[in-house]
Amino acid sequence: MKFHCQLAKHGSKKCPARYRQDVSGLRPKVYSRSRLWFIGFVVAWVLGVSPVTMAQMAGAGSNEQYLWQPRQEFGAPELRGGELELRSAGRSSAALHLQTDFDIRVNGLIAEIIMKQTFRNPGKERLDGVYRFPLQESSAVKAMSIQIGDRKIVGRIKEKAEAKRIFKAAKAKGQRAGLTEQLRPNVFRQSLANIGPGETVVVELTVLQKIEVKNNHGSLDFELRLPTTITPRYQPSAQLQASPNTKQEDAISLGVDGWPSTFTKAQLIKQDRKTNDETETDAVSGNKAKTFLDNQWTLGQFKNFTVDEGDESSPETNTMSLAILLNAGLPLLGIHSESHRIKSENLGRQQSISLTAGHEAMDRDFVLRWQLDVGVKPTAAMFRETLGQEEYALLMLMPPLNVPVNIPRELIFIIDTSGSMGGESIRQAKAALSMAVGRLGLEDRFNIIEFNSNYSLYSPSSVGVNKLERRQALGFVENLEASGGTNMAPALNVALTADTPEGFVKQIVFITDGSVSNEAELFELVDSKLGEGRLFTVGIGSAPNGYFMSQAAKFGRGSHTSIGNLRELGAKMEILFRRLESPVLTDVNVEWPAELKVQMWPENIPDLYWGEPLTVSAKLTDNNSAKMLSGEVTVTGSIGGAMWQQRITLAQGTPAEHNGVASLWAREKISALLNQKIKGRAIADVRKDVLEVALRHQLMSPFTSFVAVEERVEKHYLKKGKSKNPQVKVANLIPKGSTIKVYPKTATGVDLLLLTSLFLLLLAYFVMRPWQFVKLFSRDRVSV
Amino acid sequence: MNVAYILSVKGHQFTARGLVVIALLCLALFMGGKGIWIHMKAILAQHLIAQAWQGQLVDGGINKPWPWADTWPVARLKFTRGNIDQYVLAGAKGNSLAFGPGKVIEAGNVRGASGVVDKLQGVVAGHRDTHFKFLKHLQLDDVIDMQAADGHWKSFRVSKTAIHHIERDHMQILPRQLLLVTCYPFSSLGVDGPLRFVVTLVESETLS
Repeated sequence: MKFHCQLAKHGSKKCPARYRQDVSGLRPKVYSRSRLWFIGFVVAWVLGVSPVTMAQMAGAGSNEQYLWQPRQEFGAPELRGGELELRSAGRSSAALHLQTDFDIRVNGLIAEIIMKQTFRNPGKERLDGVYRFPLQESSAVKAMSIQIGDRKIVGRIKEKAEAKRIFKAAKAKGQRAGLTEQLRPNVFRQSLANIGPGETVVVELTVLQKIEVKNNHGSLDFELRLPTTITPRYQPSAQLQASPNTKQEDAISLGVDGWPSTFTKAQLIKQDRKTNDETETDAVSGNKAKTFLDNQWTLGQFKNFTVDEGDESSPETNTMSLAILLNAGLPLLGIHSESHRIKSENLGRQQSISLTAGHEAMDRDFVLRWQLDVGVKPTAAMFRETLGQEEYALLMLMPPLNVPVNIPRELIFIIDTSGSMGGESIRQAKAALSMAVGRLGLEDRFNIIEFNSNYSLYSPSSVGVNKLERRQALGFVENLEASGGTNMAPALNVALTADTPEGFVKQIVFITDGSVSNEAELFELVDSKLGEGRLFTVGIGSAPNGYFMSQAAKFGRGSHTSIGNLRELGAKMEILFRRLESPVLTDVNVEWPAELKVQMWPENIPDLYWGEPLTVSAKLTDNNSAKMLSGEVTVTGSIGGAMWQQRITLAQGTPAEHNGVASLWAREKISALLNQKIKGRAIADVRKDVLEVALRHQLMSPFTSFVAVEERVEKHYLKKGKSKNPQVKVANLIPKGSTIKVYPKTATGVDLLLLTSLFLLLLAYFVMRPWQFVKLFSRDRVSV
Repeated sequence: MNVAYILSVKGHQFTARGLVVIALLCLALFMGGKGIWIHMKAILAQHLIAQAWQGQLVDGGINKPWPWADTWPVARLKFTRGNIDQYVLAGAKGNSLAFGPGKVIEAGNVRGASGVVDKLQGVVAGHRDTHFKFLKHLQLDDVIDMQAADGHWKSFRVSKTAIHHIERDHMQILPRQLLLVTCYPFSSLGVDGPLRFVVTLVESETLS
């Protein structure tokens, strides 16, 4: 009512003059209740907002010298989205450059890789260098040499401690020297001493690697994988401080020579500290790499030396080139790489493959795949090599593909949501997990465990599958985010010890990038608690820790799938699902001709899942080698209750010698010996056996290293006194996508909120006082 | 005076217009309050974090700025020319970014909940409209000082700025470099834009 009266009073000429002379000429004398409310609100709002805005501006305004200048104009940067460099930075950053050239010959199932690492010292001082590099976990390093100018020094295999002694002595004397060591099954360290200013040193490694074979819907898929960089490893920190128990002390005494993967965590660090002290005392910064983890990341806090002017290089010049000569032995259907752009050329029976770009950054694994021609369906292959009186054989056999039968299963998915999974990796992992949940059958049960520093479960115990449950699970997956540490053990433990209802098969699907360094402990856990369950690992990201994945699957009696990018996710997961749903080939037994003495690895053949080939390496000894060719190998097994058998005559093995079969056998044997350690054999015994094999076959192992020392040195180059060179660590690139594509959300939208609020206030104001609004346009209509 | 009341509550009568006004006011209050709350959190939290940081420098452990916090300071960031003094928190998710710039754990050394990320290099992200508003004023060769958890200061010099697209680009994280990231464009009102402003700083000298 009042409202209305005011309107009348105002508009009318009877309104006393003093009112009309008011500021706006319109302010009413009598304030209605609603208007009081409104004014109160405006005052509160202004009081509320202004301190904030003032405080915001105070920082900028109070400083007299503070002069904001317009930011450099970029010219429609929104459209370009790329990097716009103002000036190349870091003149003093790069000190030792690295390029790796891979020269690979693939012969059937074996790849011989000549890996040339080029280090160049562009500075003005003599340098020592350290570079950690990865290799496929099953590969055997057979030879090493270093080349300085046109001199080539062939490395010798030595017991690890001795190799180190030789290297250190040479380093102190001023001789150029190189040392290649194995730090973990898939991580190696290259050390170089006394690289002169402007000098280039090429380290050449000969590596043998098995080609992976996978059965992809009846056709065979062959895969060659070259890791190029190292995933950052997580070291559970809480356990590091745990007081060492007797077992750990045991291992510490042997630590220097031990296989790092079987170390307890405390030692890894201890050992690493030790090596750091030895080699880094002269590093410029006192900021010594503290842990294994830090160590592989830092380029070193060096800055005593500078890069020559005009040298455009930066640490980004960690590049690789490739030359592959592929002789598959059978007609090929296609060659492709999901990871890199390649060009391939047909050279009759062989294919030559190289990178389209020539050089590429070493920030992701290189993966090459090829398929055999349709119609060519080899079910078995054998490669052989004679070494003195001994014959070595590598046997590959493809079990039959059966139609999947439904077995009720309890699936426990473990998904790694740690920080290292950030970006592309977690997206892949979530996509994989969503696919798996969508694929669950109605008779199955499932649960999801996510973990980073801690773990959480989707449901306290596994649940049956129905529409609602599936939708909820998908929601749970959708909400996962990557951050924090990688504390695998507790999550794994929960999955392994969960009770499975009667009649269900427990299958654990573990999705992770495996960036842990306490692998041995996790293997032990899997080995001891597996029971009737099976563990399947799914490796995610552009540089997953392949060693952890495949070994964990081995201990878990399951299989390993590695997914590099979203495109191949569907196909890879499909294969995994088929494996999970299909019956398993069990009790596999390989019977060699009775007259042969056979040492075969793996000793006990694991269960074979759908699409998985059987591969064994064997050493055959017999005095009469002609007799061998007439023998017959029988492979038996049982699948879904039925017996399965296949025979291969030894003469079927390609008559041509295959280089590397013996080395790969020796490598298999070393792996098997080292796994005995995890299963509880004394490390001293293991070491003795490994040393014997490694020295005999000239192989790198945790207990043997390659060392090369320049014997004839110019006199002036030798060192006088005890001066030490600065030491440079060559950094690895951070794995592509996994860690660098993490752009946080960095807008609160607060401006929008405040603006909207202001707009609404104005709106309210006009709605409440329409006469003023109208008056802006026409004075007459207001005055009645 | 044929006013149509459409609602009567305990003797108070409302017109349609009155209801609209009340609705608009409520909405304005809600949104304004939310906006103010965001700014208040951003400013006040930094004071609490400053205390936690001082405590951390003294006792060396992790000091949470408030008991229920799920983040803690990992570095102090100073931009003298701009009169900026902020505390960088662990993690760059919504929970920490509301209170200060956050160090992107995914890009640095992962040391778990009980470990301290003591490396200054890496990626630090901040909200475009609160803490990292100042990024747009950074110029080439501007110096930003960072204090690590062990009390040491390091200086970083702006070496380049770039606009990244979250789908098309990636951040190259190199040793001795610090990347500061915020949303782009600065004047945009939207929240989920695909562009980021990335400032690359290179360590210039180590102060005591």
